[in-house]
Amino acid sequence: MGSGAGTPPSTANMADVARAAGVSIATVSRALRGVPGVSQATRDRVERIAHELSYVISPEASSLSRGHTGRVAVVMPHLDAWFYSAMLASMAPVLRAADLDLLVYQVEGEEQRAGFLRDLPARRKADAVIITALPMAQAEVERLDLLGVHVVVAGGSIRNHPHVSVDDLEVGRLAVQHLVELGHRRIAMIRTSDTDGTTWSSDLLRVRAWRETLAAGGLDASDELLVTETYAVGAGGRAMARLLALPEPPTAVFAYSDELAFAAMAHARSTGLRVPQDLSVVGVDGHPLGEQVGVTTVDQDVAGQGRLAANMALRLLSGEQVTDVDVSVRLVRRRSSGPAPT
Amino acid sequence: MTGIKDVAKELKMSTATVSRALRGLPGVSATTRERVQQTARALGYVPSPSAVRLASGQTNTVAVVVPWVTRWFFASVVEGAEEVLRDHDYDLLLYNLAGSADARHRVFEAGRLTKRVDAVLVLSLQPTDVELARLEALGCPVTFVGADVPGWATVRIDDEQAARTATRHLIELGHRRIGYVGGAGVLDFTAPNAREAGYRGSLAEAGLPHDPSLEVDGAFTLAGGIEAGRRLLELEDRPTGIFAASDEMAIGVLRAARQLDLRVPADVSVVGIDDHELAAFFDLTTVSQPVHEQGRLAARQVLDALAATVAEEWWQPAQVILPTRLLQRGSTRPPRL
Repeated sequence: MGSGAGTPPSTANMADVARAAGVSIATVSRALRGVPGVSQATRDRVERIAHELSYVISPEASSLSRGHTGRVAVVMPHLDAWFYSAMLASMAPVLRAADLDLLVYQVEGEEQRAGFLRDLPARRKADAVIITALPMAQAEVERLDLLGVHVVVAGGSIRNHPHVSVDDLEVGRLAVQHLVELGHRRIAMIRTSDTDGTTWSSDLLRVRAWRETLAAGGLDASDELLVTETYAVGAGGRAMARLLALPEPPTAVFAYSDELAFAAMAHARSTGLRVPQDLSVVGVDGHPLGEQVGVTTVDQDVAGQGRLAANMALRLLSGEQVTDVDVSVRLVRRRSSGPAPT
Repeated sequence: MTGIKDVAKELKMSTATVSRALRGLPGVSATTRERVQQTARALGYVPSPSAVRLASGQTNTVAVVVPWVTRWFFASVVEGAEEVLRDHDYDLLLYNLAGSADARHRVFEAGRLTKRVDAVLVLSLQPTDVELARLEALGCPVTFVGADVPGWATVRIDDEQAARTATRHLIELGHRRIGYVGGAGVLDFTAPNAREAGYRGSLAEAGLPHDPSLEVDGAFTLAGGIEAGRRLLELEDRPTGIFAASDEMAIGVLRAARQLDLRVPADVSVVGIDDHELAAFFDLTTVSQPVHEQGRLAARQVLDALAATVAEEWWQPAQVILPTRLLQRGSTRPPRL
């Protein structure tokens, strides 16, 4: 049977190597770890025999003496939304090049987050933890300090932990100002509730930018125009439906993400509205399908954020100082935004 | 970092008692055990997994080898696997190859995974004999997802059948000139060959000619799908129906049609495979496969195998094939006469 299920694992241990090489276990250990005090000839012989016996020094055992695990843990609320997989994909090659393994933890919602921080599974299993766009409550943030390893935050910021992010006020301003300049007077915002009970900088700042940009233009930023839905496929559609049911529906929508924008546009079209003639929509991300959908977006260079965050973790591991990075964003104008209907 | 001594000090107990309590060894009352666990938690004490592993021989880690984590299919499989592994206190080590043969070599090379993981999930790669030998030498449970590897545990769909369902749907609507967007890509996969075979087999069954100019490589990406779609739709005698072997490529074909001012489905019908999260958004007819479920089942397989190993029972690797079904949406209709 080829599965290997019934086959015993490679059982050669350090004692077997020592016996075959005719040296002590301590010598084998020194030779394989590259510690001085072993002649080159002995080292070569031990390495050859270890190889023949398929003996591999256990990374766990060697880490106990070296004090690191050779792993970086990435913690994120979802894996299958584009933003998160793009982050992961851009971190992976940076870590691989440094010969570090990548542990992934999906921590979705309050209960799992509490469990993760209570049991701290990443602790002692990784040399650094990259918290990726994971909102946390204040008490949970305190708990991060107990991880006892380097913490990097990607796609947002948490307290004073080193982070790679974008200027989310700028993200919100770019999107909303674009709609204001197109002549829209009633501009709604769509967000999801997965950050409720937490303080997630991106969410807070984009909402603040929406409010402030509208206020600066003397426009209505009342609560009915800020719609929150539970994170799920179709959230954007449900949010759009609620906005269209208002006595005075908006003519433009700023969506927290491109995926929300896609769903909002689809719902609006299904009710017979034309985009952008009747309704303008702007998202955030730079999702690869955005061009196909024709959605105007604030591109936040997700791949760049992931790459820089992984690099930041590497630099912390090698004992360097790091400074926070804000990746630049840009408005990409496409078909989903146009002049306000007259 | 909190050590066992801190826990002992807080409780005014010996470190030996704390250690016994935390490891579930006898000689400690249930009340004491409970108190020790509560205090350990409150102080943020976690036993070193390396030390635990040295004692038990377990890493409680499963490696997942993924060709491209940015593709929706793979990300969803990983998400499904992660949920099951987490529920059983296993950690997930991700090896994202990103299409790199070098990265692939590195994962499977001797020693890379040895003693680091208790089990391995391999997504969609067709393993070489050398890779199988390496995996066998690991001596730990391995499950392949989305690949047909005889004698090994697998979780997949019947790719040829899924392709037949898609192609036959177009044939039954009356299409006679049907294009195929596939592609093997950089790494070896099982699915593309099986899907191509399903396409060709269905044409042959219906007595339709095999025209190589109607088969183009879309590299299983959105961009590749756009390119492939343009090539097919710019043919002088362009197909009236196109079957793309993944939804991401099918969405690319929709874009190509739009760029060429062709209407879907009035001018060309398009069908994919997957039921991608955005397939409904694009109103794309597709053959859906349970993606999340494949990840969950694969994780369960290796956990079952590990449980059997602990119980010293024989574990029979299973070949699980999940059903697919046609989801008819707005991107397909009979051709105009």
